[in-house]
Amino acid sequence: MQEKLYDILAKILEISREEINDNISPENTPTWDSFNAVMMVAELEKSSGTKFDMADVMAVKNVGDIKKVLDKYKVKYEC
Amino acid sequence: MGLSKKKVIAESNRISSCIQFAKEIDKIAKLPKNIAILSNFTIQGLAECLKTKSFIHDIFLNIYEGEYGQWQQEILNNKFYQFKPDIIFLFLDLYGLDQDISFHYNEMSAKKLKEIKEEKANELLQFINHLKDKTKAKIIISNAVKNWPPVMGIFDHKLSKGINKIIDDYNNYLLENFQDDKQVFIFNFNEWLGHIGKRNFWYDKYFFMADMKLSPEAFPMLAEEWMSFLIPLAGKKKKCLVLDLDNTLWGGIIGEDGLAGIKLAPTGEGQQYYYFQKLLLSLSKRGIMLAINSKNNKEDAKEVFAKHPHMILKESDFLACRINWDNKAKNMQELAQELNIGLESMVFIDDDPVNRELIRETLPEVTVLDLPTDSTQYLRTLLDYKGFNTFEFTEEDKKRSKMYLQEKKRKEFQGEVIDIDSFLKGLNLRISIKTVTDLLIPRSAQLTQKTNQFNLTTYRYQEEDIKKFIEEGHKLWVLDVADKFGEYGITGLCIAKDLEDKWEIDTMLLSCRILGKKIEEQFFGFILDELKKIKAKSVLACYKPTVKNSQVRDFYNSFNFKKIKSADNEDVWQCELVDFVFKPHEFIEIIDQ
Repeated sequence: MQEKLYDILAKILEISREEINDNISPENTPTWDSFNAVMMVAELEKSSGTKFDMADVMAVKNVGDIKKVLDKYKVKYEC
Repeated sequence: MGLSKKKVIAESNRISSCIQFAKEIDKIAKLPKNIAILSNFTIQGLAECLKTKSFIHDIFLNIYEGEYGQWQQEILNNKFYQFKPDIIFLFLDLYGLDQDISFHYNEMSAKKLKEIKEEKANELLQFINHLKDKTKAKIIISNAVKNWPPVMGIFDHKLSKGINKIIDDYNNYLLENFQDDKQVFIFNFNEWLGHIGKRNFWYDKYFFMADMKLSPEAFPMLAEEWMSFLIPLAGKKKKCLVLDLDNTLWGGIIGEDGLAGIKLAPTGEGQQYYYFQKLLLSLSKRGIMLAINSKNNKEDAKEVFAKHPHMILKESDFLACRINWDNKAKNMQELAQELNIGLESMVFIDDDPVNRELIRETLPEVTVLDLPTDSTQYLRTLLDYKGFNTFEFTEEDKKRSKMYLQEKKRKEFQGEVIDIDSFLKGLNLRISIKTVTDLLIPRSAQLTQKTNQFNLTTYRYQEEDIKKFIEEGHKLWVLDVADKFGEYGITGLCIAKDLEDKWEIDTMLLSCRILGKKIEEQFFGFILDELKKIKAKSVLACYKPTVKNSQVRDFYNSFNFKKIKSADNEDVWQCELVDFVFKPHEFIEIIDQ
């Protein structure tokens, strides 16, 4: 990806990148609403040049899951 | 202001950046316009993009987003009008109006389809009439989008009511209804989506995920498109286009390449400039004033207008011209005064990023269009510009250019208003002055062959001549220039001949690409200082006038030189170095070689 994963997430979720870890999820992060979920998909697709299947997107429950999806699509990224 | 416009412009095409910017913009909003958006699909994030794009045009917004999917209820509810909208966007998708049409039209009778179309259109018209009763706000209606390729494929247009025809009919019905309506305008949603690409931005995935039909990535583009409505709404529409000449109206540099070397033609090389001029003429005919701000010899530019066979624009199409070697910001202010318009209604077009930066920094009111480096993209860049939009198009608009032509008169202006040194400081100019060695001989000879404007003697030399000068012990320096925009390369040459009791400046030249930055003063000052260091006492220098080099007539005057002979074919200057002290400009770094 052109940018670092945590930079993208921090910007959308409006938290600092230091606060981000695998357990960050909609349950513990109020800014992770359905709109920002779409934003994350859009920005990650753009940054990686990959399109994700909806099923994979819907399976994401936390940041750890995002990494699994990126791995599944063989997207190289840095945190 | 804490928010830099430059930063906003650079990142305004990204929705996540717009969402951050919008918070800052809200804190500094002045005299905002009230914008209401009523939609039948999710548009979260659009408001922030609109605020960001508007900020670039010095427009601030209050935005009311209607409740999701409740555009009819909003229109019927009196509470909506308490917001006092200045403009209302009805941003609707036909799919939402009738979900059945796309997949069932081939089973329906033509009569039934006509009924659906009229029913849907008339329902919309009723709501618009209600809006018109309640408010004087401008009303913008989006037309219907052709979502998918037709199920019937190539046979669609053979049906009496194919899906494409149904949608075209619906859209034309809207257009006809509001043809003469001054309050209601159509946003051609279908065509706009076609331009940006339905496949990528009218995106099924987000629709099925979040009822978000338009991809969030497209929101900044949509916001930019809607500037077409918001600029005239806020009274920010532009009146005048100020144009550079070389590499803007034609390819090449007239002072260097000559009339025959200019690229401008209806076919083949230079075609892009020909079409660009056609667009400019067309804008002029619709009332946009044209003006020129160019660093050039006036006679050279006039020659192109008078003699080039493919010039679409004539000199008389321009209402005011500044073709000279002055600072372009100063020229710009003079143009504004001459045309009697505000700087904020002017748009500046120049291929040179340094000139653009100068205008941006010294005259922030002026809109500066960023021309792409690829000249084939000039046409679309200007066509994409939204600042000339207007809700009303009067006879006076058409006549404006003519009226100004009649009133056109020259005024003389004096005095440098702009602090040029602080601008130049921001360019991070770096020069290195090198003694000419074997490797630099070809470029040195080439410079004497090609340089016309800033060339004191215009002696033309071959490589062998340069080589001979070096062997005879004369001094030759070249100038290498770079600034924050990049490298200019070897763009200056000075040849000083050792006449034993004194030195003579045989050649002093700079490529026109680097003029206007006081580099010539630094370069020549450095050379005089070098001569002084080797105990030279007296320096002679000639100016030999040509049709191109009038701008350097008095170049030596500023270096303590005295004119000792003045004739038609040459001026001779002399300087006693004992009186000379090199005062380098602080804003030009000299890199030692």
